[in-house]
Amino acid sequence: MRHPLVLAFATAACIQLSLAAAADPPDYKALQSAIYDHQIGPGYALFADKAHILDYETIRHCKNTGDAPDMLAVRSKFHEALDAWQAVQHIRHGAVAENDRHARLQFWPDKRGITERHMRKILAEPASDTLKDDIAASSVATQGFPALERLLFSDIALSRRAAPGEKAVRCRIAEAITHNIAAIAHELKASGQPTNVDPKAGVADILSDLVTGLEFIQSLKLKLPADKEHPRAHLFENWRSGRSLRNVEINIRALRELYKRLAIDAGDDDPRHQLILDQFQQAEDNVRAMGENGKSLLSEDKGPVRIRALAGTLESLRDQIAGTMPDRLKVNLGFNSLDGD
Amino acid sequence: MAVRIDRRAFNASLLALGLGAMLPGNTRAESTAGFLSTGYDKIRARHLISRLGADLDIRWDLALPARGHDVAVRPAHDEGIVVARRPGRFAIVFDLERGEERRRLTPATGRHFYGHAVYSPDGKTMWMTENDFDAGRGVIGVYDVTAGYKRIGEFSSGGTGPHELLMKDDGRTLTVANGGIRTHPDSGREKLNIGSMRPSLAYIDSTDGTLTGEVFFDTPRMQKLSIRHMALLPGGRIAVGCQDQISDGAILPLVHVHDGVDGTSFKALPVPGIMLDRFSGYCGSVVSAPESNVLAVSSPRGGLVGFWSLSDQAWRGHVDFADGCGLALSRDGIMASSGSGRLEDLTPMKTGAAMLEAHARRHTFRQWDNHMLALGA
Repeated sequence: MRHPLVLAFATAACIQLSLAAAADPPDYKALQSAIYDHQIGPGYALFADKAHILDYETIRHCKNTGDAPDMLAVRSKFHEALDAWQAVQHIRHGAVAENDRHARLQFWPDKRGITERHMRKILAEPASDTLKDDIAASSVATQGFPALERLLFSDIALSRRAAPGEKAVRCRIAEAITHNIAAIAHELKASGQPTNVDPKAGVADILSDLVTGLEFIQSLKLKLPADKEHPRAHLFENWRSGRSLRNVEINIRALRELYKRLAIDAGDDDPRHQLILDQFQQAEDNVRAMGENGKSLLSEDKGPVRIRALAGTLESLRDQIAGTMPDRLKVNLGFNSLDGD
Repeated sequence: MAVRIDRRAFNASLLALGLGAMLPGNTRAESTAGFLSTGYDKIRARHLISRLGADLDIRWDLALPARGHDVAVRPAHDEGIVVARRPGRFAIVFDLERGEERRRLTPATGRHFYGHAVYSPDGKTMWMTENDFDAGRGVIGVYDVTAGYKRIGEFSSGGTGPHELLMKDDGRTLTVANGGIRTHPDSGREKLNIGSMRPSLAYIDSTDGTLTGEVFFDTPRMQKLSIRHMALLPGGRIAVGCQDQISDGAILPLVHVHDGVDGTSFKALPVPGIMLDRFSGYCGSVVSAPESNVLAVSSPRGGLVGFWSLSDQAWRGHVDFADGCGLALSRDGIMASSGSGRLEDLTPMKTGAAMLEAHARRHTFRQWDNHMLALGA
């Protein structure tokens, strides 16, 4: 038999839950605005700044040290810009869902190697003079971070001269990509809070992003490369730059912050929210302890198990949140039932 | 599992009525070329128009600038058009085989698209529901397809907030669902006239825009039912699916049939009381499958698809289908799609072993949007 205290606690928790569930819905407009003002807006603004710095650094590198093999400075700015993107990557509604901006920034996963194929093709031909203007209309696989990563984390220098066996000038392609990333980042920053959905649907979009974000990380960023039967390190996100798990750490921190705002900052003081936040924190601590490089970890004895365990924690968080938050926020996670036509 | 239990009961009711035996032999063998559906790719955060094979595999995806709504196929040609969700700012003509964009249409000044389009039977003309938003007047944009989809004029939709439009079997009369709701792009999707809305089903001569007939609901309360989607039924009848715009506890019939004759009223289709409540005041898609003797209406908010028999318009049952909205003719009946990426042949006449081999698929990280369309072979 269970301890009476446990039962008493469970009963109290149930009462609290039913009270919370019966409470008035949150002020959707205030909640949507608070999340935009404190997380999404600043996140996009930081990303725009970092993307601009990356673009500037790439131009500077190509102008001053273009023939030198040292790409440390531009790689550093790549990491900073990608850090900023990873902190907002979970946002999948609003301006980022228009004009293919999300995929143009980070075309991933790419199981069929489309980026590789396109980049080889681009490098085999002389780059056009109008590449900087044309790139936004080219294949999404050539426009964002994964394409740039192939140029910056390669044995071939980012140079103003075509490398042996190539006809394109790598610097020109890199400058076009960083220009494009900066332009998209600026569009996101300038887009402001979405106004074409009612606030309740806007909050549902945010909750949906939280749930999808957890699913995306556990399923594609972790479980897929660390598959029990067929582990495949090249299926990690950004494995070339050795930062697959650094991405995940940033993602978890951003999703924890989003959860906190949707739950506690919405005025719901249920103590179980803290338990979920603690699980987020534990997941973040775990991934930090694993290091940044998923590919390296995968080759270690306990590496695959640790990665799959982290995926399990995130899957559990997704289930808990998807199972409780729609009722608590009184929104529907359905796509068609949410805001029909 | 709820779906199976419901389907068994549904099948049993069909068999009891003697309908089961007539159906398997009359399947739509020609509808085997797959489907077109609008959707959303959660991985890449992109809205899409997708072509699915008859096996429900995705053949191609075409990324859209923003959320799409409905799709139409140009008769006897290898192209279709997908229209943006209201207030729509684009419509994209695409190649059916490869999914490549051929042409992008933008609304005329002072207009936006409402999400639906229809072609003439010869594929030379196309009409779209549009909003003259400053005047709050529904219009039908007329496009000369043979002249590169040039907009050659417009006429009144006969009401406010036109949504779906269909071409009647005479190849000349357009039927338009005027939802009755006024919106303005300055205020997004906010409904501006719920107090005074008056939806209608309009019949319009497509050759000159003459309003040849219109049908309204009789009472002020019924006029809060926005008429949004339709299906053509045998004998020139039209079935409409509505969306209730107020929540006052009233549970109203949402699916109605008009016999197509001027001067007659809507006839509400019967729904058992408890099921009526489950429709949650909201119908999504309406599809008629004459060869299966079935009319199907989805309710994503209720998480179900309801069925009526076309021959006697009686309620035939429902299938639970969470967040389901898109409906299309399938090989044997009705294909339904959902916001969780699920596609399922809700074929009502299948029994026994055939039913256990249900034609179904779930595409992960994919959300199928409001509407889908079957492609003929």
